[in-house]
Amino acid sequence: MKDRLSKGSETTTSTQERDALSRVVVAPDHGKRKRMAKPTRYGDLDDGRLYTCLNAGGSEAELAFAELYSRYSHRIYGYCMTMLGHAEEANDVFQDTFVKFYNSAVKGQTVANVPGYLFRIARNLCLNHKRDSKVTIEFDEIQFLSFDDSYENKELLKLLQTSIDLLEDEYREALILREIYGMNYAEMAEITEDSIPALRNRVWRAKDKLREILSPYLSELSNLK
Amino acid sequence: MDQGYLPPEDLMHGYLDGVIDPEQESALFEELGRNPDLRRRFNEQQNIRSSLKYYGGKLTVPAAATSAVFEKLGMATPVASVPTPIPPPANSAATVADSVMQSSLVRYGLTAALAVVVTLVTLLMMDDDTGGALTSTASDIVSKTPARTLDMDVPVDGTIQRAAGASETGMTTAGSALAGLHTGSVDGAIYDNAPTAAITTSGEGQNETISLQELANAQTSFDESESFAAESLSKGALLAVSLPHLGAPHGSRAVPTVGDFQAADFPAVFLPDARRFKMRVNYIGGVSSPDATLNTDNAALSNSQSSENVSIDLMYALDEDWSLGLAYGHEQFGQVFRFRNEDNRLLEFRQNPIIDWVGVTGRYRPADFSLFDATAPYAEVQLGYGTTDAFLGRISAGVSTRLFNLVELDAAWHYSELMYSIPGGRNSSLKRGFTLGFSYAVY
Repeated sequence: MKDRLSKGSETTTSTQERDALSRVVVAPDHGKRKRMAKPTRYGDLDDGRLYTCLNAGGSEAELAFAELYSRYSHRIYGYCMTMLGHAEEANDVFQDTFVKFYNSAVKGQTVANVPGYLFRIARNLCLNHKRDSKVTIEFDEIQFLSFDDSYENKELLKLLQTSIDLLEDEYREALILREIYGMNYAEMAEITEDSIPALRNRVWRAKDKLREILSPYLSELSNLK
Repeated sequence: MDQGYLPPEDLMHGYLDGVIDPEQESALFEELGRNPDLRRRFNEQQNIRSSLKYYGGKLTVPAAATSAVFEKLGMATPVASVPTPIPPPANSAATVADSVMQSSLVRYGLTAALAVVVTLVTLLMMDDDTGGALTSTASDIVSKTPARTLDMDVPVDGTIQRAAGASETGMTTAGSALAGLHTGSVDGAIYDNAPTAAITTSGEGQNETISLQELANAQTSFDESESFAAESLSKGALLAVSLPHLGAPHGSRAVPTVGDFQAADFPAVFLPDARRFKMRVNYIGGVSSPDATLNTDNAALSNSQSSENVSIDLMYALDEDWSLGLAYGHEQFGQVFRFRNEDNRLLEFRQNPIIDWVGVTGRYRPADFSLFDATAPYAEVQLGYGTTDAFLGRISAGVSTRLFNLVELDAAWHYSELMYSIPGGRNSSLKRGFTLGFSYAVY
């Protein structure tokens, strides 16, 4: 797995790549090279190039990090929150994930799949956190998210959150990655280091379990739009 | 996908996952056709899938977490790094602003503090020594005549009546521009209403002479047909404070908007619901141009007016589009009429009518029609009746838009007219103008 995440040749910070990158973020202006410090330019870059920028340091790295954060923070936060079921802990793990991610890039760690790498960091931190903390969380300790929605929808979302929390970790994780974030099974396998058939089975069983838990409320869930 | 046998349940999952081949798909459809229980589960699974997608869209990163990440890395938090929920739900509105307004205590505290300010202002106004609904004193009559001082002995009542007679000629002043913006939680607005303050005479006959002999022997003549357009550039400020969402459960997301209810927060059915209520408290103050001057052959008239208004609305959302409310308003005017008689005496008459009115407010904001994602037009009508035989009519039309779920911008055109009786006749305060307001959203 690590090999798959560490295909160094794809994002190694070479001089040629730096030059190529500089042509994207730096534009000539009447003979002078003028920096175009517009984050929108970074939005045009793929993950690999942005990750390369992190190693460059300075404002370039900041803009690149901001762009990557913008792309993936939502998913990582959702993953942490759903896996841990506790807002404060999820916040901590979420922050540590991005800090660790950035530091890895600065240290020259090469990455082929940036979101996959982020999920792996988040996953490891979540697992560590769960291992180090108590195993069970009482129901009244569950911290419901502050959903921005109508009152009716909020209640349904809390119900859904509770139902997901009731799933076993491996089922919950597979469900999140597949059904909430729409990953394909190959991507999921890369993150979880499990086989595709096993993951598929988990997703299907997770949905079956979820249906059982939510059966009294399924008609109401159809209003969740 | 393996070509081996799959039970119908797994075929269903495989189909929803998009991993079964056409042959298996046919087998699934065949099974669905004859197995109602599978059909039910199939529908339920589709329901769960869409619910999970919706749930995922609601898992947004708190702004505090974003700031903490960038702070830990020694970076400034850029606005561009605010993550976009994925996938974007239809009415997703969560933003980085959520956490800014997370403390209900602070929010409601701020609102309450502003409400207290407004209340104090109201009390101060009511505590005015004029006290009554319509007051005028003889001491208000002063002479500013450069050549001669006004030397007269005028009975108070007579003075009032006669002076009010000037109003009887039908002064209609436009341009005080105290347009009412009573929308949102806290609104600030600037208005710059201008020109065309029209002073028209609409006396009871051609060349009617209104004798003001009792009032400093003045004699003023007006011609009914005369109409004067005076430049009256009014500038002022407006503060409207609203207490929205009366009865909204503490800690829940109330309904943010500029004077409106969020359609998504209400079911289509008509049910009493505390979240449908919203209270608005507005204070509007302003001063019209000090002098809109009318000169006639033998008299001169100038008029200036100030106005302060406090009103309270309790609005109720009838459905997603319509809301209806009861309103109470308290208005106080500071009116100054100046006359120059043929002896070149300048007479000044002040009166301070105070009017309390109650009324109804109707508001229409089509839920299905939006110019952009969070921008929608609205129209509002307010009718009121009050003391001193006052009638109030106000229409407003505008567009409001929500930014970052934190601030609402509201641009509207308002036209209102308050007609009220004063001794000797009726007066009319016409207010119209464009307002640009803002408000914070309450969650």
